[in-house]
Amino acid sequence: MTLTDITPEAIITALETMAEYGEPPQANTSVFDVGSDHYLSFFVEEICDHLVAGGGSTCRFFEGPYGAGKTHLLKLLEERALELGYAVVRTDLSSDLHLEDWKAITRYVLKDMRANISGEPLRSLFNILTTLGRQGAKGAAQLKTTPMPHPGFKNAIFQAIQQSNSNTAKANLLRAFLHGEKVTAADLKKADIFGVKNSLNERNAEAFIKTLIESLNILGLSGFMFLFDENEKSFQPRGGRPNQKQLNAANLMRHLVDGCITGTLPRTIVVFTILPGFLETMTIHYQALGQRLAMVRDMDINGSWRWPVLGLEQVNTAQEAELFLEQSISRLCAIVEKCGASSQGLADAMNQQGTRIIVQNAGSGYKRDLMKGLAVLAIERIRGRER
Amino acid sequence: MIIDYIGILETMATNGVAPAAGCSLFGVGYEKVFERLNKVYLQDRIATRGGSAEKFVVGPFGSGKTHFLRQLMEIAATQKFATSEVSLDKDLDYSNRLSVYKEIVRNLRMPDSSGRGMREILAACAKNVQGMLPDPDAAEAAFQGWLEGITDHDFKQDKFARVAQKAVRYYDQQDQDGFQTACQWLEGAFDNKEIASRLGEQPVKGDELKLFASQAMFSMFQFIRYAGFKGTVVCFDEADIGFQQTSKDKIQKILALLRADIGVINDLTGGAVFFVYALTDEVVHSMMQYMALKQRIDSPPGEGFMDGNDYAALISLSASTDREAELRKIGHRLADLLYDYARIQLAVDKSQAINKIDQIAADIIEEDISSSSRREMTKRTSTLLLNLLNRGSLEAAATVSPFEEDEV
Repeated sequence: MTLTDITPEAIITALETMAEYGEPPQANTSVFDVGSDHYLSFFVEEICDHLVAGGGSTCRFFEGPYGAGKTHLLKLLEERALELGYAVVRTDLSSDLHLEDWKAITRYVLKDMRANISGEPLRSLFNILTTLGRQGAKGAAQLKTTPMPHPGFKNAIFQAIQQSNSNTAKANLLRAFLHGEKVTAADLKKADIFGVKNSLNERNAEAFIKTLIESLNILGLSGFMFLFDENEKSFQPRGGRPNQKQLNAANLMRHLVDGCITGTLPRTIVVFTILPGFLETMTIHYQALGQRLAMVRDMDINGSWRWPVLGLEQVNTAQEAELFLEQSISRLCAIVEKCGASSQGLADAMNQQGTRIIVQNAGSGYKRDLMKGLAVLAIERIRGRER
Repeated sequence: MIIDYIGILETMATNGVAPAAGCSLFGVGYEKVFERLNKVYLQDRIATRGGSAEKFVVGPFGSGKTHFLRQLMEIAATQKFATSEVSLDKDLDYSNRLSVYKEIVRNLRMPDSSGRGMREILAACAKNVQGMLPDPDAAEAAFQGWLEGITDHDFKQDKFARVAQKAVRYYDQQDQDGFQTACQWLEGAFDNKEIASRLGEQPVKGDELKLFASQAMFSMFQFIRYAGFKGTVVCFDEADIGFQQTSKDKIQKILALLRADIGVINDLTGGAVFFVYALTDEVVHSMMQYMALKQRIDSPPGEGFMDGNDYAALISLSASTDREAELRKIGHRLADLLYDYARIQLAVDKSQAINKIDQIAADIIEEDISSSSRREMTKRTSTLLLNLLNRGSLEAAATVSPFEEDEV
């Protein structure tokens, strides 16, 4: 989305969210972005248009302290991927959803995956499939005959595409199965659903994911993107050694890395945001993952964008705080003008406020606090309520 | 009505606590704060644009946090918001989302309704939609269209939407059994196999329950908005008790949930919910040790809510510069209401009562009760006024010596 597409009302809502929490809502992330354009262009061109379009996959890690812009970057990637026809799921690795629980992750993916189908934003696998079906899903015939890791799940996908009414008992059962709920054979038989069996469990969760990705490819989606946002030191062991849960999580991350490298997860992009210290911990305690992600930690070498592990500062062209501030001010003044207010004198006020915030946050992530401070000034100017 | 007023005075005289109703009558000192919250959040962000928000009201014990929350809910209720007050005491585990969901539902009041809970919510939603058009036939058609459209609307949790749809249908068809079953599920019996089976749904498995409850909670707020109400205000009181768990792991869990909620609220479409927590400074201090949360809710120095920044997450109630003036104002307000409201001739002139009240304020400042001075002022003034009402005297009963006797 660009500044020309967004309404003044949406701008105010986004600015308010930024003033409160330092980040815009998902819908308008790119309007407020500063400095990520070049990296996003690289990501789209090289990773999405070449690597994934050619059948490849990749797993990436972005490292940064609190407030450095990790969630913001994930939202930008999500926005781009949706525009390109990907199915996307962004997961906040909160205490309610742990990475070590692969079945829970799969269920979350099935229910919360998003895609834009002919411009219509959709959420959940069932809704995506029924919409594809209504639009005459190309590839349905090919899907029916292609062998898949989980044939029962594939059959459910195929039958969901055929559903014209999503409110019938049959549709409800298919939805339940597709979303990872346990559905008995008796119920399926009663609803005349055949060939659908083996509901999601711990053992077949990976087969579910593989079948999902391959099926969506056949049905015309460009690829699949998993975005994992770590906000709470989920992977940081307390008191030395990681516990079993953390080791299981690291093991699953290794699975994902291997899945992307070996092609068992085709046309897939997996992105993790991590806090500083994670890689060092993995190198010591879980070498299977640590070695796969090993990189030279040399202050004189800047990471190429092709490296799987990058610091947040390496993907933003406005690496210096002062440059970031300058570009942010320029962006926000344009936004204020878009809302019909004058930006006269605003740049100076923002510069003063921004410099103060950067100094206060020296040595740590400053961006969230900075965006809060600048957004307040922008809203007050728009509303004519400056203090 | 005068009896209610006296009941309120008695409550405040005994405990110095905010009454369950009527806080708007007595609220003093935060008029501008409520004006800002009403304008920026209740009217603009939530009612007009369907957005959601979260605030933390911070102050020591006795600084008026409960009163503040209740006054905010009263303001919201008069503007057709649903409200729910949840006490995060030691019996409610905030880290257990299902328990929190059940408690929010149990305490939820719809506008113009005296009842609480899921049955009231659903009935109010149905009636609100049915009452939108004056022509009965058009209203019925609109209602059926609204009902049909529930499952097409983007709720956070599809299953919640389907069951809510069934529940409203049962209500409309006066199917008591069906309505009862659906309400039980919506009240939180998500994992009950029998109830799920009767509704044609799969029970939610144990490991999914917490996440499901969280999603159901936000879906409920979306549903209330979808039914045409302005939004919902949920106030969490005594969060200092609820958050100060003995286990470090549990505290971490709670802080993580607070952080995660911010993300959900940011991206929630049509949720129209306002979460307000009452916290002590100690709890806020703990929150600020948790970087992921601190980054989101902290404000730069000079940019706090009381400095004029409407968007600052923390609202500090201990920022008053002239405490004695504030205490006098509280006392005067109570006196105004008694003298203006009471339809009986009071034995003492108002100016005398005011003088006594001013003395009370000065005494409290001198005693340096500090953090609970508002509570103490409320208590002593309420006692004074009750004495006046009941005994016709500004003096307390205990000042009359039991040994004074007329000489025979």
